Amino acid sequence: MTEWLYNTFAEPWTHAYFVKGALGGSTIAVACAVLGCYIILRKMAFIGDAMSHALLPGVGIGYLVMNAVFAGGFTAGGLLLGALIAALLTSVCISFLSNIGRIAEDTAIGIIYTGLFAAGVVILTRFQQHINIDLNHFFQGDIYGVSWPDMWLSAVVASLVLGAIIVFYRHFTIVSFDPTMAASIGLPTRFIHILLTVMIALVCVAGISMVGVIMIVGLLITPAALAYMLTDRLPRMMVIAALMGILSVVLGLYFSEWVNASGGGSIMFVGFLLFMVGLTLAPRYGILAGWLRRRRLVPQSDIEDILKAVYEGRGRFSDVPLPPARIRKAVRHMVARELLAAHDARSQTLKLTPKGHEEAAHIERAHQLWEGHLVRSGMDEKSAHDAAERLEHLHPRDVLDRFDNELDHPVTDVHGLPVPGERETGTGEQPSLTLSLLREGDRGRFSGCAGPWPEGIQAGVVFSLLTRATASDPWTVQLERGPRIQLDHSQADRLEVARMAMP
Amino acid sequence: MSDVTSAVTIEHLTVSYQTKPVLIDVSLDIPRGSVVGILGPNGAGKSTVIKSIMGFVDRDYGTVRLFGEEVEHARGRVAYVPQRGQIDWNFPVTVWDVVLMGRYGHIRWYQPVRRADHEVARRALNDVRMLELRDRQIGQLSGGQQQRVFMARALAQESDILLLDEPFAGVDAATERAIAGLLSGAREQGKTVIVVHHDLETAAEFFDRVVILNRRVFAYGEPRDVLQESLLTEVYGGKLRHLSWSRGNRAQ
Repeated sequence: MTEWLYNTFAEPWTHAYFVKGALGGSTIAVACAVLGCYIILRKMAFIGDAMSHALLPGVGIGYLVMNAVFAGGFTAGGLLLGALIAALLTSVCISFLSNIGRIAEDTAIGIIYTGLFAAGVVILTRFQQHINIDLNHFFQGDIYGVSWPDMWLSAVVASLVLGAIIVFYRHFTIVSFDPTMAASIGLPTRFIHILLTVMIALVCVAGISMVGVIMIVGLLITPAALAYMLTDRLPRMMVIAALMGILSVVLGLYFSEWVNASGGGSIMFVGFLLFMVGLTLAPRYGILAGWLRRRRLVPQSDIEDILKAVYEGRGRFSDVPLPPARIRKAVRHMVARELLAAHDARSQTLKLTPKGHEEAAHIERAHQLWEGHLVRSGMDEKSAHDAAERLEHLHPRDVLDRFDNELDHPVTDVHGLPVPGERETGTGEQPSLTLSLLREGDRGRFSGCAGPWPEGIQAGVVFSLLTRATASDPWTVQLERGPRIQLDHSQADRLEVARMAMP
Repeated sequence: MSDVTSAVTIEHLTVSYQTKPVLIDVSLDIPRGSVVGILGPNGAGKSTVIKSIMGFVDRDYGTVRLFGEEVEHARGRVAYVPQRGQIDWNFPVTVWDVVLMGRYGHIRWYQPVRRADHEVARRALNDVRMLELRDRQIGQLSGGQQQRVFMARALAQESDILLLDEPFAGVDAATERAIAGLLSGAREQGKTVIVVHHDLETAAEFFDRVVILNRRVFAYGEPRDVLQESLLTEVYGGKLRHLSWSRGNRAQ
């Protein structure tokens, strides 16, 4: 057993190639992961992808130039410089093309990077006797062939990138979060964007020889995306992303040893698996958490169906047209929200609290007004009723009040049943009402008038409503300290009132 | 010429995007310490006015001065509250992080955030009564709370001019009152507040002066002089007919 453990986990570390791969890979993975946080927050993932591919012609030309000038020396510097130029060129071309109009940014990215990549392939294959770059290497990298220059390059690049992010943390964050504000306080947004682009190019150049072009994009995006699933604090996100990057590299190398597969491929494959695990299990934003949350959620329509059933006097579980399990869940929720009185579980009968009664009356009114509205616009009563069964769940006050107005403030619905008045549906959410929404016998105080005040009425006057208008008769209010006043419909709509309790 | 009593002086401002004119010969003089609403239909160029006060717009013609200075030289005198739709609410920042951003313009790049900056940010957050929620991620707030956080950030900038883009859009009545209170509080501190606003009905409540804009300035003055139905009908054209004047139907 110990021997197995040793062979599986410790033995690989006795090989220099494994240690170098793990160290070099982790270094670049940390730089990628932290930088990647900004890339995904700025929604630049596709640009990172494009840039890494577009490096190829830069690398090729850099190699050729250095070969010609220094006869084979300093190629590493040439590669780096060529790659940087190619990265900047990519970024400039993309913003140029997408500013021309008609061509969207993602289209521009697609065109530029395939174009530059193709140019790179042409250069590499045309001059293959002069260029010592293997296309396959460009794609896959060679994590087990990490050389000392590679190690140094990745260490320098990682220090530069992390150093820049630490020094300019505030700048990067604000430019990513709110570029308009950043510009308004005089931050050099353009420079910061270019700096980000250069840093992407740097990690790509440093990482490509180890893990290859596709995997480097993976290291930029995947650990950062995983961290984003796990936290909503940026510094924490960067730390988690860095740890996930290292974890992907180390586990990936183990994996490649165990199954004897490509190192770069294994690293990214493990990174992907880690992401999938995080996506599923993340405590707040994960799939499982979302599913559990939705399961616990009581659908508002269930609540409203129960409210209405009880309101209409069908207070038994068996009267509600829902499966019993859903009723029980909704009822528990509604008792907690004080819509239903704590019920007798054995008798399975439900009773509304005053608050529940108010809400139920509101829904009843919504149903009746929707129904009236639909009938008025030409639907037959049966279909209107069925449609209103569903539409009653849409009941913002202003919509209902408009229907109420459109239907001349009905007291009974199309079936002749009473429409609950303001008295029942409560005034909690509506600071001002119009007179036309009151019911006969309601008492209130005038608070405002949109337009000229009717003769004899002013703000603060207390009244009670005697009669609502019919086809022939006007509205009549009895002022508490004054005469009886008759109003026409438009006046009743204009007068704002606050309802008062009966004396 | 502008004098020191003007916060913003816009003269003959003309702006176009390619060949499409957005603002035509706009002149406005916004006095220091006033709360001004910019009203107009969609596409009237309201946001362009805001952007030119921030110095972001290529002008075809005209000048924009802040306190007598060319706008390009007056960076940092303006604090901007973006429209809610422009913000990525999933961004991993807390209320506190956002308010502290208001101080970034005052800190050189090599300096750390100072204790005094924390103090200003704390006061600003307290002014909008959001101090208890300082450690919340911004996506976990209600719409009104989100609006107040960005107000606090603008206050923390301690700038002389506040620009707000549609702060009243889609907020509840309580937040509407809170924002209105903050606007008048800012005025009492001598700040100049410029607000892009949609709702004609509430304009008179919130603003000392209103601009009716539709590419050019149709009217500029006190609300009761400017908000006349005949003028508004001219500016808004047929659209005004759908606008109800009773407070009962405000949600339109």
